[in-house]
Formats: sequence, C-alpha cells, structure tokens
Amino acid sequence: MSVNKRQVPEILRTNTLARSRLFHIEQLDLRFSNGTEVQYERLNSGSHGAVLVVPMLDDNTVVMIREYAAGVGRYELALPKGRIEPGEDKLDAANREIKEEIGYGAKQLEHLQSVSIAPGYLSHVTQIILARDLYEHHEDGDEPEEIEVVPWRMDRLSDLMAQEDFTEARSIAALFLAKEFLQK
Amino acid sequence: MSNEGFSQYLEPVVSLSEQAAHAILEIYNTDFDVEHKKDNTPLTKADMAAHRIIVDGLKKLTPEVPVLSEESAAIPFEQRQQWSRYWLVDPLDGTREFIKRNGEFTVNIALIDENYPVLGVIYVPVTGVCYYAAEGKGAYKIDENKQRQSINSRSIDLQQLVVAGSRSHFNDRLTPVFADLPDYELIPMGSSLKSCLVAEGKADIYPRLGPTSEWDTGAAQAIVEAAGGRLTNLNIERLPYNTKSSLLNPEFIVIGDESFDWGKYFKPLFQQP
Repeated sequence: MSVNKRQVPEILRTNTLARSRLFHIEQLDLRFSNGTEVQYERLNSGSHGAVLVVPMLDDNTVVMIREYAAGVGRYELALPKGRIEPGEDKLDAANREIKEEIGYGAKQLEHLQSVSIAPGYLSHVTQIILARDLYEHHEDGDEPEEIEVVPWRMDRLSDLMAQEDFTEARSIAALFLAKEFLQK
Repeated sequence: MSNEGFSQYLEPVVSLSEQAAHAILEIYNTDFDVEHKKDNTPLTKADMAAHRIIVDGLKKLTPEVPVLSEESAAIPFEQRQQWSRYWLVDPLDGTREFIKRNGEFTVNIALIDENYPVLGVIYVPVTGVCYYAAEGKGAYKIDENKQRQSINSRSIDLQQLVVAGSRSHFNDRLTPVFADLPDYELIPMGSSLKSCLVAEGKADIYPRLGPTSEWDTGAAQAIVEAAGGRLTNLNIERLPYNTKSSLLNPEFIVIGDESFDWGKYFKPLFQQP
C-alpha cells in the first residue's frame, strides 16, 4: 500500500464556528501547494474515535442490534458500536460495547479495518472489530432502553440489505469485510 | 387455534418437518462443493426450501398463528411481544454439520404458548429419525425403521456419567466444572440432537455455554421437558421465550435428572442479566 506523499495544504488559520456537547464545527483557512487559498469547514469529533463490532454467534451468524437513530428519526438495525474512552484500547472498547449492548463478551477480538465516513468534513474514524468466541457477560451501559438483539446469518446478507431499516454504511461495510475475512 | 390440546398439531407438524427434510435431502444429496458463507450456496438453498415448506404449511394449518424464524428475525420486539402463541422454527439447525456432511443436522419446529414451548418436533433428514412431544402427552421417537417409541430422560448414575457436547465447547469455564465430577463419557453430536440424547436417556447432561438463538432451543426444550428432563439457564431456571427484546438465549444446560443438584456446579457460572 502506498501513501500519497503529495504535500497537504497549509492550514493558515482555524476558527471555531460553533461548539456543542458533541460537535465542534471548525473553519479552516487553507493554502494549497499551488498557492490557491480557500476556506473549508469541518466537524471535529474531538474524541478518540469509535469502534463498530461484528460479534459472531457462531461461524455463520452475526449478532445485530436495533436501536433508535435520532439522525434519521427511526429505529435502525446495525452492528453494536460506541466511542472509545480516553486511554482505552480499541479491542477493550469493542468488548465493553458488546457486553453493554448484546450481553456477551468475546474471547477473540481482531481489528479488521479503520474506516472514515465522510472524510471531506468529518475527522471521525471508526475501528471495525471482529469478535468471536462469545461468553455471556452483561454490563450496564448508557443505553436509555433495552436494546433489541437480532441474530442474522452471514449467508443471508442480501436479505439484510433488503431491510429498509438497515442503512448504516459502516455496518454494511463491516459485514462484507468480516465475511471476506472469515472466508479466507 | 382451540385450547383443546396442542397434540392435535403433532401429526401435521411431523408431516411438515418430513416434507422439509425431503427438500433438504434433495439438495444435500447432490454433489455439492460448499463455498462457505457465500449467498446461494446449497446450504442456503436447502434452508430456504425447508423454510418455505414449513411456513406455508403452518400458515395453512393455523392461519392466525404467526411464525418466527431466522428469516423473520427482523420483526420488531414491539410487534412480536403482542404474540401469546407462535410457531418458532429453525428449518436447518446444524449448518456446520451440513457442510461437514456428517448428517447431524435437524429440522426444528416448536409451538410457544404464553412464553413456553408446548410442542416440539425435531426431524433428522439423513436418518429419518424424528423426535416429538406435546405438553402432557409425553415424548416420542420414530426410529430409522419407522418404529415409534416413548422416550424418557434417565436417572443419574455418577459412576456412568454421559455428557453430550463437543470438545470445542469445553473451554476454560466448563472444564473446571467437569473436573469436579467423576469421569464421564463425552458423546460428540451436532445441532439440537445433543438435547435429544438427554431426552432419550442416552446422556445425562448437555452443557451449552456461549450464545444461541431462541429458535435453536424451542423444539428441543418441549421434547426434553416432556421426556422428564429440563432445559434451564445456569441458575437452573426454565428458559422463557419472547420475553425480551434480545433473541439470544442465556447460556444453558439440558439435564435428564432434575433431582441431582446441578446448580451446585453451574450456579457459580451464572451471569445475572
């Protein structure tokens, strides 16, 4: 894999446009290497990133959850996920999230991929973690209500894609990454 | 559906499971080369063919009773918690066994009434063996020669302890439990057939740590209970169905003789939900 060595634009100035409990909108004055100056905006997550977990119930069944997604205003089917706490290892974060959300921990955790969602304006990065060899372990999280837990077969991902409440891009990517990884 | 007894559904449901088994065998007996976990493999086709036969059949038999299976797992809890009675189906339990071609996979159909299984049918396509039970009517097995016999779980004899399961399930939590028990014989078996071994008195216990789905245990629980055994969580409490938003089971054990204090061994492993 080659990294693009092209010189990145120089940041002349950053300016906070708005800050809330969760979001930090920044304005950037940039100068590209050809001299062009522009103004961009970005959403700075300011967090340590997030994990999205693919918990395998057995070698052909993944465990999904359904929870309220305020952005789209409806209940969405997706993989368990959450923020990495300061100082927390990503695999530990993944294990904590599945204990909180599906009531199972995993003995085997593997990092599959780092993904961004809209790198043009979001700084946020999500770590995709495969979790196998599950054991029952419940932990209380910050969930406002009991989460629905839905097992789904890996050889039926096309049916899952047909579900209108399954739209989250990171979950779609993670399932296909996991499927490819497991076939190796 | 009337309340006159659930056993009236045994014959049609056994017949449905047999039809589903034939559909599975038609695909199983072709010379397939499974590319595991891809869509539209023989496994997926067999599963879908069996599913269709069972769901269509159950809809005809009891049009007003909903069916829950892997394919309908996405039905929101809000909706399914309204159901007081429903069919719980696993058209092909034991996908690994299907791929390994060892024949130890099953068709599973259960009827759940007020959160507990009241009827269960487990059919083994490759051998034609069928286990079935209805609440209050006992448990039965139809063997390879189509002979029907009543089955019962057995009383425990610690000198001849038999455990159903697979070596891979004996992890760092289960191994110490059995280190405290006398020597035992382990019978490896696939799918819900492990529970059937307990129901027919060939094994004393089947311990299952790790996650399973509700459709993996419904039919087995009906049969084990009717045969005199129990299927419980590690705190020795009967498993309920459709009572929570998660479709995952707690870790469980299947035991033939409830007078034996299995709780002494398993309660320390119990995780309070």
